[in-house]
Amino acid sequence: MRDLNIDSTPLSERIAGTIRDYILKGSIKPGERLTEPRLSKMLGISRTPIREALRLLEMEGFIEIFPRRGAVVTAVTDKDVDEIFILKVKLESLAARLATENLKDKDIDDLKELNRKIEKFADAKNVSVLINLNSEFHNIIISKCGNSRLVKFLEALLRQFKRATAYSFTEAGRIMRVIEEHNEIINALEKRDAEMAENLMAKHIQNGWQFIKSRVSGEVI
Amino acid sequence: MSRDEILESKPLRERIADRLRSDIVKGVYEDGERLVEPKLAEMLGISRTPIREALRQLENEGFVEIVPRKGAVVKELTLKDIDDLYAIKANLEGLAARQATEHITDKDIVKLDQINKKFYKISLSKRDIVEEYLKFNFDFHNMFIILSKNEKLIEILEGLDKNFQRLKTILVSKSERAAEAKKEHDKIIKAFATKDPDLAEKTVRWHIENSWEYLRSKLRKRY
Repeated sequence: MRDLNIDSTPLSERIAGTIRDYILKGSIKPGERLTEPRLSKMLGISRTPIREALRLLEMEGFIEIFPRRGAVVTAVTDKDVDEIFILKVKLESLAARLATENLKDKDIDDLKELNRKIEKFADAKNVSVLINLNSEFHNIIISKCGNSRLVKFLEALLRQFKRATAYSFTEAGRIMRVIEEHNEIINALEKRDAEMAENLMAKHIQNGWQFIKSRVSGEVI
Repeated sequence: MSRDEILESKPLRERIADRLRSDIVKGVYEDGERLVEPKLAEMLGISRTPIREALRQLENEGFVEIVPRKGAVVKELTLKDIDDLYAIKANLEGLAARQATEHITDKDIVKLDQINKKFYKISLSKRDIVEEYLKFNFDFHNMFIILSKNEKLIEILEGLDKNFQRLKTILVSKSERAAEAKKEHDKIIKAFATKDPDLAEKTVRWHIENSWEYLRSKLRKRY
């Protein structure tokens, strides 16, 4: 028998990606209702994969599903950002610590190259390019932690987190700091100093947190 | 609200996931066994969509793996998996303890002490009381986890704990660890009494690392 769940996985996943992008870009706003018929019409797809996509987004915290009312886009409050950041501080610094055992010299070179690219684009004020380069940088370290569950948790956190990260790259001040902090992290990883890598990563993420807080305090992202 | 009412209000996906999870924990399905959607749909008398969603949820929790061309299979829990889980647990429960120091009251500390005393008393009993023993241990940890007031963290730790259910059967020989665990809990209570976030975090991490050390030595004999 054919396993339909395998065939349909990518479709619901792709739909979730599209809706997620709309939410991140602000085309769909917090509080807005997402009904299956409306999305079905908008995307030209049947309702079953849309329902699955909405479940995925619910698990990621982007929407809330209410009986008979459909899905509503959740608002990210100050408290949410606080909760996500403190988890990221703990888990990503743990990943950096574990990664020191697994990173190859080639990976360190890749990290250096990425940080140079971030520097190159820092003046261009191309926020989306910077966001992507920055996630690539962090992803190399995370992917080398050797703890698959930790990777999964961080992936889920980062998806929610994308809504907040954009702020770090809209002002030159923080970008230069980001590059410096990345260099310090690379340095610790190159020395395979687990303790130092963990501490520097924790500090790096904490600094980003402080910055975002100062920018969005009282607002809803 | 009674337990049944809570369960009633759970979405279908979660109820199916609960059922499948408990079957995996009980050993109804073996490691690597396929969980075939149409078969499950027939067995439970429901449509395939909520089953697919439940399997997806179990994949997120680490109970099953979705393998291309095979569908969902029961994921084996290896020593490495447990190692990985404990590394995360030690870190996050430590964080919960740190955040709980901001909210914990003297009354909460008295309650922690009471739970710990019950926990110890149960462990001294000669009967096979794994369930109760684990319940009091769970209550103790859960109390400061909830007091962290960090909903995201609470949610993640809940998910992690489901994985530990599969280790229940190994924990049967509890009494040898119980005396140590009780003393470690006492140290945690003391740390909370000082309201020092660094100390609370460090003590909880240390306690979890110790339980992992103990469990690892037990597991080595099995795996």
